[in-house]
Amino acid sequence: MTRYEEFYHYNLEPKRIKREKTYFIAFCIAAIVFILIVKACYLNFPTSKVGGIPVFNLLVWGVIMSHYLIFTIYLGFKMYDIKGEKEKDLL
Amino acid sequence: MVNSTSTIIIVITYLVLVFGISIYANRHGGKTTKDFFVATNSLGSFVIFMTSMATAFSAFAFMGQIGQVYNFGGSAIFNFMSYGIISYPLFLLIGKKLWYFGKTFGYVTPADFVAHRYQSNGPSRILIGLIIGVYFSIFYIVIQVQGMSWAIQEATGISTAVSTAIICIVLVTYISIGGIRGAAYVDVMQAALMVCGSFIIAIVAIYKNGGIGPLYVAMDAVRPDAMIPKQNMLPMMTGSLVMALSMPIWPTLWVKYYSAKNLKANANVAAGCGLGTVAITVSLPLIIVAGIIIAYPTWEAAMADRLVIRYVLDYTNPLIAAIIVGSLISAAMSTAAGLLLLISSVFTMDLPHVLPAEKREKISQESLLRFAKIISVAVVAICFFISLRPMGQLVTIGISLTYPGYLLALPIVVGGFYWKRANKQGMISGLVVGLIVIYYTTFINKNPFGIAGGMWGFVICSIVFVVVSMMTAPTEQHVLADFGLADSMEKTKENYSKVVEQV
Repeated sequence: MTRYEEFYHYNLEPKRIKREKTYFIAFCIAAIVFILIVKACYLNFPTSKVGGIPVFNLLVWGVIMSHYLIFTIYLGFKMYDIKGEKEKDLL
Repeated sequence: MVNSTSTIIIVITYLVLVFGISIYANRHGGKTTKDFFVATNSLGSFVIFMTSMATAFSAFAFMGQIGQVYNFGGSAIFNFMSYGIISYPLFLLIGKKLWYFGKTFGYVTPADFVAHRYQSNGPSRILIGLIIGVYFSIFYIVIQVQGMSWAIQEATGISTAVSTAIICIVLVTYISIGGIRGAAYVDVMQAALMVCGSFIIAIVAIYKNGGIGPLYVAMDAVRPDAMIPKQNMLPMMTGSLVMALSMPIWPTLWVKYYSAKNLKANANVAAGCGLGTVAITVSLPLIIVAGIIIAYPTWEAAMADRLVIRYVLDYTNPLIAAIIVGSLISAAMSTAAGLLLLISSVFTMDLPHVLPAEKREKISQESLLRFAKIISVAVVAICFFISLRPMGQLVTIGISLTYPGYLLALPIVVGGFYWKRANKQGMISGLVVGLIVIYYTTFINKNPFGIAGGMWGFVICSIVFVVVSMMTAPTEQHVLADFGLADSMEKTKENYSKVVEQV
């Protein structure tokens, strides 16, 4: 692989660009939805009734953890095509 | 005060491990500035994962966030939720480009990319290197040093000056021995220690109160409004966006992209920081603060940062308390180490660019490395003296402008990757106007219309950057070709056939 081919692979390859665009659009949608969720959480924060805050805590943590696993790890690594990268290193 | 024997044993064990790992890293690394500052782009996935987690998880996250939740209730948690959702996908989008160009063109400092893309050595190295990299970061080292010093002071009873001096000596010594490679290897241990420490505190809070349900019942009885959000919604939400959007280009994380061995390792910058946030900073503070409120229903707001240390010292056995104090020191030490290396790299690698090329080329690697270590000692000495004094106006400005200041680099970086019209004049005007705007909206007319000052700075910097770039001459084609933005791909092919020689 020449330097230019390597540059093309990481920066110009149509499939990679398409994956990055799709990921970026999904990221924007998720960010907007999240901002609405934060607003809803702020306005409807549990008023310290027993069970309220622990359940809220678990719910928030569940949303954030799911987002991390699905969006950052699964989709993010898929966008990078990490499986195909295993053996590669730069020149 | 904790049983000082346990504390001393834990602290000595920790120091022996830190120095041992640094010496190991020193023996296995190269003797060049590139190895000292970015490990010659050789750090693998696991090390990058752990060092990113440790760097992002600072004394601010460990102590400051607990203090914020104590003072402001649940709204403080929303700040950290923003990181989880917004920051890490951006890490992946921005990080790949910085990793690739960093490795291809041999970048060492954040300003290297900006200087190359915008063909602007002096202004880039002053604005990105000295102001954003050094001025905004140096006070963050002070915060970390103060956090560690408080922990040691509370645990052993020794004076502030002595505990601060110990921390400063340890910090500068292990950085000088191992550089970023040593810091990254030490971070593997520190990340594990700090994750364990956070979980132990949460478990103690639950155990002491007979379970998670009874914990909140007891908290409700003591302070029924404890968790109700107390910050105004708009400044809180826009402020958290500023933090979240700036994180992917924090200078300490920026150089992690350069350090990554391959694309997989680069992806682990996001994965490491992300796990630290979602597993610890979002989930645990509500539990820990509930325990703290039961123990200390009222506490001076300005001193709330110290509560977590006070809690573990008063409510856990001496050995566990000593381990948690060790984990707190780890959290602060790893962040301070990353910042110290960054500042040292700016003085060692960026500033020599003011010299004529022929003089610069005559400076040997040994001289530069020696200079880097001298700078580290000087920076730590300055931090030592600042940390012993009350926070003055300069310090307040530095800390308040840190995240907004970092965020100003975002349009410059993204524009540099994707927009061929982005040019030097746009970059300089955007950054200068952005800095003035965040100063104005942070200190003179605070948060206009309820929107955080950093967001105003970001938006206005972006507008000025775009408008001025459109009105002035575009960057030369041969430079754009390096980033695949030239009108013809032939020029890019030609440039890349010469890259080996450039590196």
